[in-house]
Amino acid sequence: MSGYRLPAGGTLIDRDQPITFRFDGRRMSGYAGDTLASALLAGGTRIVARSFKYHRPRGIFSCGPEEPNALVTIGEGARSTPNTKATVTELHDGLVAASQNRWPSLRFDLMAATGLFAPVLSAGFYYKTFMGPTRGAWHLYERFIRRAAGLGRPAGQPDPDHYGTSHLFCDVLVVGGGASGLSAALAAARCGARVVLCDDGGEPGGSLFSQARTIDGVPAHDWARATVQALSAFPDVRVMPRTTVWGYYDGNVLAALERVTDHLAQKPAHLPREHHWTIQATEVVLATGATEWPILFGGNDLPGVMLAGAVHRYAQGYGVAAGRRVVLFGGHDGLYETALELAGAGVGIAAVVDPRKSPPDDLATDCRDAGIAVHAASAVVRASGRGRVRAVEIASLDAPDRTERIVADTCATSGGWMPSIQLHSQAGGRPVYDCDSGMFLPGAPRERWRSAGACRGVMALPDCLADGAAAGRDAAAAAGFVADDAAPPATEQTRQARPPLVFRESPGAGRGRAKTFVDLQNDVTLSDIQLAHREGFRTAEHVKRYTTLGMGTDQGRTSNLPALAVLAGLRGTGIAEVGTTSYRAPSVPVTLGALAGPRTGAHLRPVRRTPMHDRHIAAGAEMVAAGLWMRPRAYFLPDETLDDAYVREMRLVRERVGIADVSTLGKIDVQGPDAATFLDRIYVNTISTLPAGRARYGVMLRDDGFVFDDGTCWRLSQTRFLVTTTTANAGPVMQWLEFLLDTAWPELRVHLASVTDQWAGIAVSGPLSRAVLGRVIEGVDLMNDALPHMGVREAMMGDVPVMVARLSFSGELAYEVFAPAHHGVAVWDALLDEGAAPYGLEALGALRIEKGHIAGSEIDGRTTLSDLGLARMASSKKDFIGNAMMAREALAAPGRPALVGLVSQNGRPVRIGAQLVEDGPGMPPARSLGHVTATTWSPTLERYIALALLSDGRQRHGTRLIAADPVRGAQVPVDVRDAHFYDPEGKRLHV
Amino acid sequence: MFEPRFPLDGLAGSDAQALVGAAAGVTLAVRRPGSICEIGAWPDTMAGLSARLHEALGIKSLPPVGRIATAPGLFVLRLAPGRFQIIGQRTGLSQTVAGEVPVEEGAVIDLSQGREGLRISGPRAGDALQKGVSFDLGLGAFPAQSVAQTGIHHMPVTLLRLDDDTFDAFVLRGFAVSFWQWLAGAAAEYGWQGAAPVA
Repeated sequence: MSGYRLPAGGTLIDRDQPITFRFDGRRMSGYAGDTLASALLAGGTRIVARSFKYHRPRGIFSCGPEEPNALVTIGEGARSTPNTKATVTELHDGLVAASQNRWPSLRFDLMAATGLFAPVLSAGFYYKTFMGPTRGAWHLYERFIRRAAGLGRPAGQPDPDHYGTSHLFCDVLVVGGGASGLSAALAAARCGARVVLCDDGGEPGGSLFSQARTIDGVPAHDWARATVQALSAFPDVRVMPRTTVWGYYDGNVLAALERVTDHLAQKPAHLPREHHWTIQATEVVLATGATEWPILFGGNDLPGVMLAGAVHRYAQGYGVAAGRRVVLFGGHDGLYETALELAGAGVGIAAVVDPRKSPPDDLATDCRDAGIAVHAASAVVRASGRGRVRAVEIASLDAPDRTERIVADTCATSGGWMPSIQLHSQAGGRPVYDCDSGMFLPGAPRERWRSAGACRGVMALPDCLADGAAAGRDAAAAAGFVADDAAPPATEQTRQARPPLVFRESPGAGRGRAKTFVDLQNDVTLSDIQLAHREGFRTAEHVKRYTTLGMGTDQGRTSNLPALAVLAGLRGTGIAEVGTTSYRAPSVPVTLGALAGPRTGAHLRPVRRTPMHDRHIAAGAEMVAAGLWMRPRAYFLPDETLDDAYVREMRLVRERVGIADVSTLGKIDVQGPDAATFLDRIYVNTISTLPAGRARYGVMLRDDGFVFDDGTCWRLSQTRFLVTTTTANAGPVMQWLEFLLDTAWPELRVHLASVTDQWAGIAVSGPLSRAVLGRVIEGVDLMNDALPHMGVREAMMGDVPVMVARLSFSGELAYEVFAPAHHGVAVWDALLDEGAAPYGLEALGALRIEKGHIAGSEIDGRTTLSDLGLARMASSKKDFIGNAMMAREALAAPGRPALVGLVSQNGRPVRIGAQLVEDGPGMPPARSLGHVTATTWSPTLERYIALALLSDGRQRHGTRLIAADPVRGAQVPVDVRDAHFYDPEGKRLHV
Repeated sequence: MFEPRFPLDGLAGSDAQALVGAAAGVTLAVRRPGSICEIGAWPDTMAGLSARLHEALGIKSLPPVGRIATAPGLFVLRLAPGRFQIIGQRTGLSQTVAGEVPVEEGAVIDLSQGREGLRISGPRAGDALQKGVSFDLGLGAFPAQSVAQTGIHHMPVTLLRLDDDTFDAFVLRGFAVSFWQWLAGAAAEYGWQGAAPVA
């Protein structure tokens, strides 16, 4: 037990609201406002995790998202979330947390034995061990390595929570709610801008909650709260706590994750667990603060080694003493102020260790007066203890081998501050190293952002407030608002500080028994970096990849700068020459659920339902997706298989009358004085000669000469047509035609409108179709002379006007009836009442295969008119889209695929996708001559038949090939023939 | 007499609701106009078309692109320079307009049964829609009497803003159920209640 709750204090907690939680099954207590880390510290918990590789005991190191150690699993069962940082987990009543990556327990982890193998688990372990002749060993060891090393485990169950996504727009987005961010947001809001302030904490304010100064005459934390209230009172300002901006993209689009219910004990069902925001901001103010970086010394991963700023914040913000005897170590004046404030709060401070030869006299005197020893020109060279810090060894920098032992349970280090420039770097030039301050500062903006405060090296509170106000005002002005001239918030001026010493590594670090860790999360030691350098890895990017440094969930926030300093020392250059690694989104872990939002399960994508959708379900149809449309595959009678059902439905159409829902066909209303001219240009065949009341089959080419789509074109009047397309291509055809009208032929007076959903389409097919349809509609003579094949007429069904076209996809006498969509069910029901029965997509496809009609699987974007046997359709008397390119040499070359029919010769089905090869010894493998595009059982031929695209197909009629399906293990001998299996003369269409 | 059947029958009635506590931030009602009619004008016939629509429907002037003009019982939306949509309470509007506009001046297409509409109103209506709409629904950017053709969750939507807190959204009929499900899900956070269809 080291940490404890101070008797008073804590600007972030409410001592009147005690709450209980569990950690590794142990019941513990805290207060509202605590984080899990502050409550664990207050409860005296030293070890909270085991390290990634060596399973070393680790304690809480920081107080924010930079935390490398304290990764825990929050929640239970399907709601458990691994690898959550305890430092940013807000405590709530009933919270359940568990340590991870240990067995059998946190305190006694047998996996810590991996530490014995540390000498061989050095940098590049995987590359050295599992490459070359021993690479096969990976498969043997992988299971054990994966189990021994790693983070927490996912729940392994479907996520029961729901997530939201939304868009957000603003004039000024302020990222970060610390002193600079609040000041910026206030200034921008006063200019009248629409402002969004995102802060990743539970309560905006940042370091103001551990700040002893006043702002505008009130304690800093009170000013923060009052400012948030003031901001919220503006009608166009939105303050978003618990919202982390994690990505910065082109066009000033930023990605943010809001944690909505994780902090609540009772999570309302109507609220998403997390909400993902896509924010589009005219101007952005990045006030993302800075992260303290540690000094490297031996034993620096022991529980009890912490960042000094974190120790300070736990005391001031949460009323928690991180330890009973704290040694502070660093080379800047702020550390003395921290020591004094901690002592004032009741935290036992053993010493301040300052590597500078001349510490600040006034502060050093104050410290000594407070009973705090000051060791100038000295450094902590080692932290020692078993499982926790029990002492620190310090040495004079003049005589580093002579050490002095100070009994302590906490060593708080502060090497300085590293601006948090992740977002800046995602949307800007490379960071620039400032030798004077020892910081990487933001590079030049590539988007419309400016930064304020600590993230650009402005560290003192008065300067941050002024800098934020200026940035907020400037951003508002840049967004088009008139900047006001209000003074920035006022605070006491800071004392004149002595120059800080950039001190990153203690003497002796990396030597001796105590390891010196650079990256605590990925267990990368100083010696790993030295080894990488010896092995030739010189650049930051290479060292990162070889050692995994900075690749953990903390993204190396506390390790990058020390590592760069080490590398610079090894190379004998400055940090500026070494540079940094690249910062990429996401800058913090983002749950996949939040990225998916509500687009999961049945809501993954929308579906389109035809007007008769419910009728199909009621009739026992199995619905299948065709693009976004849902279509009936087959209507099943009791105990029927799919084959039974579709063959029965085929026979129904061949022998009696069936109805199929063809509402999904694309339908485009083409109107205008130049409509016929337009259609002549987009179809290969001539449309302008078509008389009103007639339809014509048409084919469109892409401009590269390949077949694009086919369908029918109905001429409804001299200036009006109805163009039908395939279901799959309805959208692309519409887009293409509109593109042509807008760009190629704007002079044509033609208007296009999608009427796909306006009309319910029903195909009435079979020898009895005329009789059945005739009993349902009136006002039209369906007889051959009056309505021949490809004729179009208007008719009535009661008071409902319908369109009837005599078209056939099945090869039988058939009609398509188009009724206004709201009346589709009425027509469907009437046809059923008159004796028709429904048939589904499977039968519809099988009927067209028997007939040799092409469909989507043949119009696959690679076939030409000639390939499909349609070359004669192309008019030679007019120009049309694709005309020029269809004559390319390659598109008329010998060996091109041609549409053929196949008949199975062994009574087994021919598989779609099967490759056609010549029969012969040693087959397969063999060169593919083509592939099967569609297949069915043919009740007419009583054989399995198929359509295929076969090289030189027309010359191969009468030959035998093998339809080889090696993936599924089938080889079927097939005879090649023409594709028209059924009624090739078309007599049945004209009865 | 054959009764029409609407895609949201049984789903989006006035008794449907998902309140938060007792509150509903959004009210959802089926929008069922008598007519939806699209008009395409040729570049040189805008003036003539304007005069004919004024005569036939009482519309004073054609709205600019992205805006809505109103006349008793109807809205005229200008979706693009030469593309208009009329949404009216009475049936048969398309035939009326078609009778007034000769093909030399424009094209008229009846879409009354090809689109399904929903009225989304209430203090959180904009917030619910903004979950799917990727352009700014703020009043400064999309004020009352604005219209936009956009996409929500892969569905093409014609979105009208009638006042600060009232929107109409029209989708292809086939998407009606999916759009309803999306909208009800988006509004669940704020609570929603159904209302009687609006003509």
